[in-house]
Amino acid sequence: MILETLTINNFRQFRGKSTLRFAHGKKNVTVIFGENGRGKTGIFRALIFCLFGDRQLSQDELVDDREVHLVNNGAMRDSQQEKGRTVEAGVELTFKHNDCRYTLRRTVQGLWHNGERHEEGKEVTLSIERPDGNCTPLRDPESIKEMMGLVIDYRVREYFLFDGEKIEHLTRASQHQRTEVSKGVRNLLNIDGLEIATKALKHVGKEFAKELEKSATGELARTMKRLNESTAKRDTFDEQIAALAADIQKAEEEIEDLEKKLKKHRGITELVEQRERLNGQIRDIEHEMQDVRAVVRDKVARTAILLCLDPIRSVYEDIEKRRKKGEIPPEIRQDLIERLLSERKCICGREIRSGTPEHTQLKEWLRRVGDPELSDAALEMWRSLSGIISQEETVRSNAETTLQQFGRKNSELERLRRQLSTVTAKIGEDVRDDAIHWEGQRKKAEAAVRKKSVETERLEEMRQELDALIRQLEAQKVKLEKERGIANEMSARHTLVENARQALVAVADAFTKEARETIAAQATAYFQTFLDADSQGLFDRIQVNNDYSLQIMDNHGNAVLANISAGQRQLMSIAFIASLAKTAADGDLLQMPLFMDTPFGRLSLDHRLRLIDNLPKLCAQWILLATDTELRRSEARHLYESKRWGRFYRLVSTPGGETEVEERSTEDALTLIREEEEGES
Amino acid sequence: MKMDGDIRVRTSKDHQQLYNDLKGLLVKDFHELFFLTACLGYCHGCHAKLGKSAEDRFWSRTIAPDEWYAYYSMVLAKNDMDFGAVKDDKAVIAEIEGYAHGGMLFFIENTLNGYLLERESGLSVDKSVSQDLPRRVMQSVFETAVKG
Amino acid sequence: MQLVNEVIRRKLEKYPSPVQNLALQAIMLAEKHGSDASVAEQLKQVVRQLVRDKK
Repeated sequence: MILETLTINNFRQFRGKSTLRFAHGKKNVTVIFGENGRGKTGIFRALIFCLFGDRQLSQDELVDDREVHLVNNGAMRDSQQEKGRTVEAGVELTFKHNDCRYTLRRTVQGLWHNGERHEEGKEVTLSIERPDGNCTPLRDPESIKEMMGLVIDYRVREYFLFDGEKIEHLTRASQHQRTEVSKGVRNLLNIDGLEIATKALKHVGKEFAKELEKSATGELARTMKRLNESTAKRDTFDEQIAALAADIQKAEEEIEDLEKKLKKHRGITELVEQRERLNGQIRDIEHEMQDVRAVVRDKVARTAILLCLDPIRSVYEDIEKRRKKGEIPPEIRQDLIERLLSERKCICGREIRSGTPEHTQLKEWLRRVGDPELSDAALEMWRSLSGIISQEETVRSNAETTLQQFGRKNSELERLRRQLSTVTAKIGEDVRDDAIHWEGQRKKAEAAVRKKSVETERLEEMRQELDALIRQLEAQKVKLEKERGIANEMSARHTLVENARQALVAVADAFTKEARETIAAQATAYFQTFLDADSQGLFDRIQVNNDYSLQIMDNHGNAVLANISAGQRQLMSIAFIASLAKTAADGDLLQMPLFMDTPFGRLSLDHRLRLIDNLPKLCAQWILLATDTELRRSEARHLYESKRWGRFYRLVSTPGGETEVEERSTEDALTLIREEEEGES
Repeated sequence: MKMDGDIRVRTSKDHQQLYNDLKGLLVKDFHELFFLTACLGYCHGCHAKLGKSAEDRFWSRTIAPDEWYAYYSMVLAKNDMDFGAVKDDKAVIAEIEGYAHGGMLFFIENTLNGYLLERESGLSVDKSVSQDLPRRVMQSVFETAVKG
Repeated sequence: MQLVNEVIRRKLEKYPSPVQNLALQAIMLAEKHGSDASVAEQLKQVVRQLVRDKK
């Protein structure tokens, strides 16, 4: 099957018509490039919808079918205003198969009814153009389904698209992985048919056994009874083992989910501890600041004295001057001067007359002497002011120190508060005690897995013992029947059915074993081509075990899956998936296009380049859905130089949130990818 | 200059609530606040008569000696060092009340602004934001003193 | 997918003819009907016939 064109009309986020042409032939690689959410998987959805009428992909298994909208939302919104207006969406695919050209078209109609959105399939048409030019049109859905079934098996759709998640699941040694692998192999081999047949034979065998038991007597009856009881018990074991496997898978998924939460929470726990520490530090600083504030409060009034130092100094200097002059305290007492003036006699006895310099001097002294009380007070003031002035530096320095201390603590407090704010924002909403709960849940789930695994082993052992007993009883039954000459129809029926059932079981086991070996061998071959030269010599083979777990063996026969890198595990998954697809396709070249959605994930550049080298050789068409982190300059250049790169499409977001498909040449693609990378840096 | 302890020192009745609020928050006692505002008033040349709004606030016996000397210095400086102007303590206090009132008005306008609430009983301190007030006041006084 | 049936057919060849027959019929019915209960019903008739034919 070679895809030629895919035309999408109003489908999902693609408004209006967009056509993609797929590269094939020598240049068989098509790259569809776009950021996440732009519609890369939408293109694959369109293909699957057109081919099979499926509205959902396997990744949508948990989504209600009604929630999957195919008709473009914008077109639907516009139509909402016009009552009764419908919107048609559709996909048309042209492809070649066995020299015929097929044009398959499938449409769906969207409309509003009582404010609710409805979608219904409208039409499917298929036109087959033969090499001679004759055309066969088909309109009947059943005929089209039958015709398409000859081109491509429905089961194989699982192997069209490999996405990161599928690849990721396969890398884990978990029940999930085993389920995926088992599903893949079983789908491929159509084991379901075999199993249904086996179950049906078991049903029938049981019924015949009951009939036989009713008609048997003596030892044969007892043997039949025991045989039937043992068979019933074995069936019960089978059911219990299946139930335990389902429980274990559920528990493993729960553990995975809890680990994700706990991992996220571990980060939060550390942040919470940091927050507690910060809160403590903030409290300490706030206490210290309370103390500083108290000091400030005690000193504020004292500091105010700095504001009136000028008058204090002036007065001090004035008193000092007067002191030096002998005015304070006065050198001559006031009463003495007054006596001298009234007696008009100097101390030496000389007469003092008015108007003389001596008289004037005495009067001046009298004026200056003033009030003795005041004089004493002034002297006292002088002493105190001297003390105040000498304290000035201390007061100033204390104020400065206190303010600096306050400033430092305040800065520290603000810094801590900012840190606290950042940490609190990182923690997000209130931290709950769920981590303890989750940890408890995880331990419980792990204990459950251990317990159930042990129980499974025990039941499997018992089942094996029971199997042996049943074989014994069956042999005994046959012997007894022979001895008694019982070759009646009932017995013959029962025996035939039992033999047929056992044959089918043996064939299925052998068949799946061979299939596992074939797939493993093919996967090993692919794996070796994907690995870099240094790693190639390290591994011997990929193994698909009885329980459908994957394992890698080294050259010494050791199982090394747990020890290889994430990138190597990813390559192993891709190799396994490719080998399944190849087996499904029945040829040396994968007969169907290989869609890979961001497969490079954890791969080193070297591994990516090797995939780019080898995958186009394995398949008829390789359609790579890539983001800018997947396909960078190096990968793009390597792809370009491989001369396998045929087409490049870029998915671009429109202002309305829809997607446009832009075709560019591969040369333009190189420039674009380079510019995007440079834009990032 | 006897540091008379029997004088009733007055402030504006409009500032009664402020005095009550700032005691304990900013200063230990009323006389300290009075001293602070008086220094502010003198330093910034703000002198305002109390007039009819005068109200007894505290006894002069609570005034510390250094504060008295500062008051005497202010009055002497204003009166050309005439010690006669500081003979009567009542007159000194009356003069300083003017500085304290002017200083309080200046204080309200320039420093307390943002920390106050207007109530019916007059201006009061907003306790929710007042934690930083002592530091702010000391900062303001220090900066003024440094600038000279 | 032809390969699948071919391989099964080949592996069943080593069994006696009635067993082979019954097994193949069971598979064919399973592919057609898909449910083990309805296949079982039909198989009962097949078994009875095969046993009678053997006689």
